Amino acid sequence: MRIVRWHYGRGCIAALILTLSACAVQWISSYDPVTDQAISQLHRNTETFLSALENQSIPDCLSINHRDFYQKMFVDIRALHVRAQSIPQNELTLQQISLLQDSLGLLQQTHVLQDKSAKCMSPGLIATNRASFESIFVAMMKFELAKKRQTSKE
Amino acid sequence: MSLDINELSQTMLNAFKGQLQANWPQIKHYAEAEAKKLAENLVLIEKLHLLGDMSDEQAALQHKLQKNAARVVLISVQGMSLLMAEQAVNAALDAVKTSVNTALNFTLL
Repeated sequence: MRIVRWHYGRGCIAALILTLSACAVQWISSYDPVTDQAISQLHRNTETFLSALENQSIPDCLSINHRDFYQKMFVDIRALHVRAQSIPQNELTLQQISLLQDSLGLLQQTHVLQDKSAKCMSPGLIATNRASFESIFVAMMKFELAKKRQTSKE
Repeated sequence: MSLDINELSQTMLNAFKGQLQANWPQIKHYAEAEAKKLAENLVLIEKLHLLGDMSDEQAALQHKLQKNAARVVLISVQGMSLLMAEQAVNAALDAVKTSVNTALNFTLL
């Protein structure tokens, strides 16, 4: 009976270790400095745009005068998405990039609707957009920083 | 040399605990702070809508934007928790590496 238990115990340890050593190596992608820098750059561009809007009056604040900003941001986000797709185990970051892209579309739609009122966005409306985008960018940067710490430990 | 199941499991458990105790408070603090910020922003959207600073359509768009922001934050929390778990598992394996490899007489870990 004791021999059976001894063999069973060793078997369990071996099975546990083999399972862990086989599948617990990496669940999340490694740190990618290019992604990290791209997120920081997108954040800077968004903040520059919102700060400019705060100081503009009609007609400078109209969305038609900011087409270049939206176009460049969409191109940069799509480029980041393509890069992120090439990195293994990067599904969570890909979801975040898709949500960022969708959020930029929502900001643009808000801006276009604002044009109809023939008024610039109020400071409060700019503040809510800023708060939402800050949450998005800070979250993405924190995740990249966590990956960086993890990668440096390996 | 033979493997002692109690000693191995205790060593692995200690390594798990060490990693979780070191990392979880930071993630928890971040999640709490973000939840508060998102709630404050939601209140501001309602206020601006009532004041007429944003139309019904704009309010709906801003709610969607808020929802996106909350989802991005939750994805980060999920990712950081997975990284923490990954670190804990690797630390546990590291803690028993020498004894396992010695007992098996080859480099498994």
